[in-house]
Amino acid sequence: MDETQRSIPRSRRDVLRTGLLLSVTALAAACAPSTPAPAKPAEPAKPAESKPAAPAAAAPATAPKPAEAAKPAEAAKPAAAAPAAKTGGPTGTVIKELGRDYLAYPDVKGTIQFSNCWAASRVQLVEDTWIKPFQQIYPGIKVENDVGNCPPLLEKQTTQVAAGAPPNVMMIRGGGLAFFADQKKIDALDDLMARDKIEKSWYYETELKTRMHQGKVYGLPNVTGGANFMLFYNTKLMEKAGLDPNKPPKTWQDVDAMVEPVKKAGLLTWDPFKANASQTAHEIFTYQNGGRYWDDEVKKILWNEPAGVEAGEWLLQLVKAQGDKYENVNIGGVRKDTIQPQEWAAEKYVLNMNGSWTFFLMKTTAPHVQYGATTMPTNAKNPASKLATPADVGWAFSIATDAKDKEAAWEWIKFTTTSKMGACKFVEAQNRPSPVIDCNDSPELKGGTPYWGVVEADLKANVAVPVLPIHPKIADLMYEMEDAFLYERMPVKEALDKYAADAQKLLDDHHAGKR
Amino acid sequence: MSVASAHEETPGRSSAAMVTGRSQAGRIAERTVVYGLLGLVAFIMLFPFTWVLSLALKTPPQAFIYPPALIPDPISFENFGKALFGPLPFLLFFQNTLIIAILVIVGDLLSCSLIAYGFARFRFPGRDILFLILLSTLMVPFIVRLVPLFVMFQSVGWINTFLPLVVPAFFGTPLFIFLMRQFFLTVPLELIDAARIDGANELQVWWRIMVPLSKPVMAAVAIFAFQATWNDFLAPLVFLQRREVRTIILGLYSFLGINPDYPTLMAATIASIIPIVVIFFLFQNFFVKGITVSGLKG
Amino acid sequence: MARLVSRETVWGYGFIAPWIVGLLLFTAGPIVAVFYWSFTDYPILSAPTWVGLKNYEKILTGDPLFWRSIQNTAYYVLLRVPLHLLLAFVLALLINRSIRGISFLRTAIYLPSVVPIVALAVIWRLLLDPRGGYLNYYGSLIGLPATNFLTSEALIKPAIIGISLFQVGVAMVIFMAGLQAIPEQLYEAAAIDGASAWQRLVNVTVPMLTPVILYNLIVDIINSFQVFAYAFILTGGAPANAALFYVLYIYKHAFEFFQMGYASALSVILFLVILVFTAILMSFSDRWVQYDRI
Repeated sequence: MDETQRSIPRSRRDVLRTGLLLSVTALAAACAPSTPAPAKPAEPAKPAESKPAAPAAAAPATAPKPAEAAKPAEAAKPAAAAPAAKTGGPTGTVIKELGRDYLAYPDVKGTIQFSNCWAASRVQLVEDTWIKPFQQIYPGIKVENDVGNCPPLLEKQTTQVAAGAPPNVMMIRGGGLAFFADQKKIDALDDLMARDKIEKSWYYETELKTRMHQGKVYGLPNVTGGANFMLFYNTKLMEKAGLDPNKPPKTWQDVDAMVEPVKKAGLLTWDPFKANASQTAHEIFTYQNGGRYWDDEVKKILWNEPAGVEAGEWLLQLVKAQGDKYENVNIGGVRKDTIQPQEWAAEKYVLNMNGSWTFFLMKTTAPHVQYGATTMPTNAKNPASKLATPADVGWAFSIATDAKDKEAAWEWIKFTTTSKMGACKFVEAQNRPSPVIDCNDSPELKGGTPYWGVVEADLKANVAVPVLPIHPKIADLMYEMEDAFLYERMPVKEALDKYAADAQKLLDDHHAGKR
Repeated sequence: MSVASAHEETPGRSSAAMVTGRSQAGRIAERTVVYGLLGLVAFIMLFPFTWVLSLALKTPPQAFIYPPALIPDPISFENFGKALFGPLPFLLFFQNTLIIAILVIVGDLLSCSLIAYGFARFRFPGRDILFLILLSTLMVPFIVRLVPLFVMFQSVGWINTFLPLVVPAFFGTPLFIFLMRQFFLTVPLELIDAARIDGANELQVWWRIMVPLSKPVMAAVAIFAFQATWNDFLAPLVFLQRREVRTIILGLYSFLGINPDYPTLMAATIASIIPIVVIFFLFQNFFVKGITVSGLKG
Repeated sequence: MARLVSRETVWGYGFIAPWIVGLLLFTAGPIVAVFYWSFTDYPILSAPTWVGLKNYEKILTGDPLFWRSIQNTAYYVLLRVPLHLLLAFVLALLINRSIRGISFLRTAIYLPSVVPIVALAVIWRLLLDPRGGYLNYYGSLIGLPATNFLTSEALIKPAIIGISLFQVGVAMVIFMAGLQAIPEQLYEAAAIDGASAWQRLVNVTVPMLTPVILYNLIVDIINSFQVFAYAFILTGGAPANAALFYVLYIYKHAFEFFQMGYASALSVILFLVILVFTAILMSFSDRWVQYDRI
């Protein structure tokens, strides 16, 4: 006992000492100036040098960029000395190199908290195509890239807005946008657009519509909400099934004809029920079939009309023909999501309904897959069926109403969504179309993928689907409805009718002013 | 007696084994069973991580080729490079998380042992009700408390500092208070009474009797507190917005983004759990080769 | 000399004072807010409006998914808690010795507990992929059919329970610490009395571990009632709401539908249910838990 007792105080003292030391160090470190600027690469004082590094991520040729990029920095200086006439606010300058007579206010000062989820591989792109060029033109504005991942983004923004301390630029979409607008927590941008001569016609009509609420624009789009649904087909697998890889299916009936040969080759044709996070497959195909989900005022549910019923029945029989139950046909992953590149990469499925980002993602994630792309198949049996892909959401940049430095926020939004550099380069590097019509004229984009024609056709066929602030609840019902007939708990027509009634009640309540 | 128990194989069983005269064969059989079962469980536990490691060492184009290959060809560390030295200052996040974790551990060990002692060894009116209240604070999901907490911290300007994450630890964490209370309740009363008779005041009793006897549970709390801080997601997400103050897990999740970069995410996951694994490996002895200084021995 | 308040009371309150202060500062406010909001309609971004019992009414009479989520959660709690505790206990017994290689085994078994739950969920999502995931791949090598756990109504909950058991390390470590605190004398005395290994287990180990068993039991119940992360990341409640757990349902109302009032009401109900469970368990605990109590 003596031995142990003597050793105790010593070891305890040791523990105490180390503990104190650790905590003192920790405290000291914590109290140290909290501005330990992480070793960022030196701010480009020489734009010409930094530019070549930037588009390393992009496939298209990099040669033209340095020259083009060097100009705005130089042009900005002399132009600033000769301000164009302006109406109130800081003096503005036109920077022609940024395209479409971009009107800038380089004297604006402030800090931007850019709340977004362009994470993972896109962070560098944001740095190179947005932040760096922006800071050259607007030396008085500091940009903080508050990047995280997408699922908790809205939750975080909601919390910040609720506490009265929102980030001034928020990346937001769909139901979130409608809700925030409804609660008057984001600004309508129409006046600012008019002041700075930003024309609505610069954008695809659908793109702007999906960022509007009750007739006003609440956010400017930075990537397309459209070009979400094209048909990708694995050419190698088609050959394996004895089909001609140059003749992808054009109609629903063509797809039906593929099922048997594909089955014989030990493969699966398609999991048609993976659309995206807020739209069901049934919605897509109903629109393809000449139908609609609801009217333009969102007052009446229309999905249980004959076009919708036909679409649902076709989808169900397609699944059953392939594998009898959806569980045998499902490609995996989260239900409310697009087919992910790694899911298609296992090369068991021939077809894949996906969006324009697929080119970039397949290249980086699964370059071994050989595929082609075409427009979505239509219903040969229905004369009203035509190519028409619904778009209800799309990412937008919005200004929070209760934020500070809103002038700076507007300059950022303007730069990233209208200027040639911002609006075009970011998406171009990903081989994606831009919501700005002009940007899509770029030879790099067209050369970036042989299927650009498909993308353009898809954009043109976009149909804007208006959403209410209660859209998340409607979306939930949509998925439940689809589950109901997909898992064969109800016949198609019955499921469509039942949920139409439920949704109609929600709509009626909403329009009557109740919640 | 103390001599015998010093270095035998199974501290709790050794003298007993000597007394019951367990046969050599019996011991071999016992060991086979133990190794067998534990080995099986360990294998199952490690199985997902072989895959994680495999993915982390693959170049992105290799990642999703089917059929999946366990051993990458070629083996590449580029994902680790991307994770640790990419556009996000991972090492800074590491430092931030470490600072928070150490402070939280100190706060928890200090406050929870004091509070637990109060609940365990004192009788006072309202004690059991207060304890139930303590437990009940665990029953309201954090997601609904998030908004008011944020509003509160926002109003005192604590957002973007470590304070919302560190200060509450100095006022006790209910989970750990509960755990320590359970342990303190097993400390024999005679010890405490003996110390009190010797003239120690309550704080001295706490420091000289309760704390040393609780090394296993203190070690457990330290590890859990460290881990909880390391992996805490929701609180840092909302309270630490500026990049300079973020923690490692936020860095990890930025690899998820709109379309996840799985190989880099796996590399980042591995990098972020290495510290905890190392700490556990080194300190697990606290649980077993117990330095249980028990006054009852001999 | 008569004292108004006994010395013991003063010391008792003194020791727990930090907790009381912390409670008032950090915890009470938000919890009271939740209770208050349960009687309001609160779209988070604008002020709450009082609606009395309307939320509760709707929950109890007009919300079939409420009952579904209770059902799902009950299933999870009733299956997982016993499995988890049993596994942790057995592992702790086996692993509480210092034979060669045991440190490695211990670390290996603890490893999944160390990984952030969100990363684990992502990992499992990839592992369980029916076509390309490792699990189904190895299964196919030995002839098992490709199983899609994440879209099977019948399999999704067992799958989530299975995944959650990977983090048994935490409870195991707590049992280990508890085992360590059992004085050797008791074993020696039992051995001298001729007790077999099994009898020593039942008559010494288990009774001495009851305080820790109580802890693990209560904490596990509290946590299991609040299961959220796996369902959220893996399926978002699908397939067909088979994985719609209660807290996930709360989350949807709070951050997808922006109905914080309704979400608060749901939280209050959850709180009451867990409280009742716990209070009953704690009050019965005196009968089977062995402390050296005062």
